[in-house]
Amino acid sequence: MIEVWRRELARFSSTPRLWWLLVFMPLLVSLVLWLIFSMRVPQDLPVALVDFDQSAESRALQRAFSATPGIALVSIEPDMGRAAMAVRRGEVYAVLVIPADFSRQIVRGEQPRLQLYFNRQTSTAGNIVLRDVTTATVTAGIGIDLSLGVLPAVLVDPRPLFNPGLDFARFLALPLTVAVLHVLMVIVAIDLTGRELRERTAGHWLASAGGRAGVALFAKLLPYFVWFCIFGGAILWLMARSLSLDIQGSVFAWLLAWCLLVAACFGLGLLLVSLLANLRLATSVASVLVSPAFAYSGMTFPVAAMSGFAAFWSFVLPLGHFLHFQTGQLAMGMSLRAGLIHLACLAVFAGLPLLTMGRWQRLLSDARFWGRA
Amino acid sequence: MSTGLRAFWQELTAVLQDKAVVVVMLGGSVFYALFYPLPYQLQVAQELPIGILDHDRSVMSRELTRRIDASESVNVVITVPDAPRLERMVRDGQLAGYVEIPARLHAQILRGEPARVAVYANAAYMVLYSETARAVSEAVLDFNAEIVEQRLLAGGRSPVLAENLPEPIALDRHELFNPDGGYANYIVPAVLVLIIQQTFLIGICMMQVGRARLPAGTAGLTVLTGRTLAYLLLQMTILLLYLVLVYRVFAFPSLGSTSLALLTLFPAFLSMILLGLALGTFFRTRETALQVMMLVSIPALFLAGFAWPAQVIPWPLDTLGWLIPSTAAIDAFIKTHHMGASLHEVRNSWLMSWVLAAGYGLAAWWLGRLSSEEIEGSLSPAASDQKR
Repeated sequence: MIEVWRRELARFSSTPRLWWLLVFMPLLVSLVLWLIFSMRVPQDLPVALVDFDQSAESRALQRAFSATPGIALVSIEPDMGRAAMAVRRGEVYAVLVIPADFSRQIVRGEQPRLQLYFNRQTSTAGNIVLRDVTTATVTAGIGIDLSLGVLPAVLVDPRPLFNPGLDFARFLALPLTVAVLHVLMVIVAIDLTGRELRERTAGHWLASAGGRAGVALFAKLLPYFVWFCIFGGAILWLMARSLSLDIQGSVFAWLLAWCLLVAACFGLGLLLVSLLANLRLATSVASVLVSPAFAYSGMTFPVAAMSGFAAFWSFVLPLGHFLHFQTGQLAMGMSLRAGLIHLACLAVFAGLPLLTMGRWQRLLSDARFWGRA
Repeated sequence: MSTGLRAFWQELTAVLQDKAVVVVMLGGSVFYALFYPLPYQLQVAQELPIGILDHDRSVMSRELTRRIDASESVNVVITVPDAPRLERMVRDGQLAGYVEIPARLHAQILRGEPARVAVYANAAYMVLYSETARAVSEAVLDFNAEIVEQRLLAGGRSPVLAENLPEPIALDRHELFNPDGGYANYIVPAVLVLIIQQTFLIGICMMQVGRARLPAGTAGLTVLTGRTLAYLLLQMTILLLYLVLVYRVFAFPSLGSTSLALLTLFPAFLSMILLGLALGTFFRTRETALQVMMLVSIPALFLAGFAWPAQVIPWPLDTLGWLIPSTAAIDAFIKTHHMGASLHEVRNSWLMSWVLAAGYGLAAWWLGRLSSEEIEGSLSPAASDQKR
């Protein structure tokens, strides 16, 4: 083992690429993602207001809309063509129209109808605009009813659990950072082992491990595994802290799951290299498996709404298991019993290379597998 | 054959004969386009499991429960007066949320006192929260409106007033561009543009590895143009395949003009290709291009300013994001192809794509004329290591 490490140290110090993959890329990517979401909650999204009424009542209504945190009203002249253009140009996310006889209808109890045209092509912004406009309309309506002596019968209070401020960044920045790191770890595992085959150094590597493929793999990857556990864990911990996540579950279980994800990514990478015996091909296949993994993870679009193949694939990939476990531990205080299934799936991935040990022995000793471009 | 035409033809045949490049660049762009939309096929979350914390257990509370359950978005799977148990189930991911009905719901309604129903939903998952909260709020508001209407009628108000007053201001919602608010309709078109960018950057960089330098002078420019057009032809073919096949298969709506979309993507595609031809000169081995591009996909998607509003991205980062061709490309494509914008209305993105194409074109020309040793020498060691 010592011999493998001595050899690896020499290889590592002569490969600047590994410095980039192990140190700079993780820092750079997490910093960029953290910065993108640094505003946390989208606020003051521009909404065009077209007021055909221009009355005291319509201005009172405008104040109700302005009071909501998510939107900022942009008054434009009463011209629907102009308003539509502002939407198409992306200057506003929605157009809110107050009809011409708004105040008269209010006074007569004729139920004026506001028109909201909102851009559903941008989901996050569109949803926030819809939510705030709806809330402000209902609130303004209750105010009018109260002034007429009409009491509401049943009111509804939305209570967001685990995330009172509806902070999007927590549940995007952190999972996306994990998603990129998980791609990176699979790449590194493939690169470390596949390149030995490519550069025909596999024989030398095996010899340094006394001819045993298991020892060669374990000894070579162990320092990188430890590195990602500590360095990646530190990045995630710092990010969770900076997002002021009030940790509800067990920090220990979370970091343990992270180590399992590191092992799972290494396991997946090793499995691909052993099956394909080709650095480039293994990287290509890995990109198919891990690049779209976030879309399948259910962090944005719920797994409950996926069907057939997508639901199956979502369960098979390791990323989703870690992300659900992470959210469960950090935000929801999920019981360990409920999270056990996720840990088990990660462990299965970590154990995959054990199935191909015989093949590794052949790959590292048979020169026919070496040098494939 | 002229130099440019020969370069075009040679590049096209070289690409198509290179198995590795065909698999990643052409195979990849078709595969991802069919694979990526699969999770979102249902488009909207339906039948999310929720619980009812019914402290009242009256006719009224059962009626309200029935109303909530009738919503397409949620499905009442459990009704118990046990708050810790329901909260546990939400924590363990078995429920999307639960609705708390107060103990005196029936009594308060009979007395004319406003009753308050609370909806607790899992906001660690945004879609789960917003769908649950929206569905429950709508059901409760409808329930409220009916009760108030009956009270007003009983109080002797006219039927019209009784119908209008529970909701004195109505809100008509018109969903623009994405009629059913589908998740796939929103995210997939933008991702398709990103897929073309990423697969072609990888493929072009792979082709650039170990390539002989460009001929000096204007001949180099002609060769570069020929190669660029070869990739442009392939990109346009893939794009047409998307518009004809992928849009049909998944039934994505598009209210804009296809020809205008092609016109806006033309400079954007040029900028992607020329960026690839420039970047590719830094790579020493083929798989490195693949490795690097796999890492930048996710940040590039969120810098594009549609999934996360550009207004709330810190401006220096937003500005840097415009250096990535996909940012302007996605903006122009979504607006022209999905939102019916005219070329004039997307002129900023369109011009940006031309500027990028010109800048990356000059870079590709200049770098292409240097040998790999000269490129190494012209950069700090760290910078060249990054790309290797």
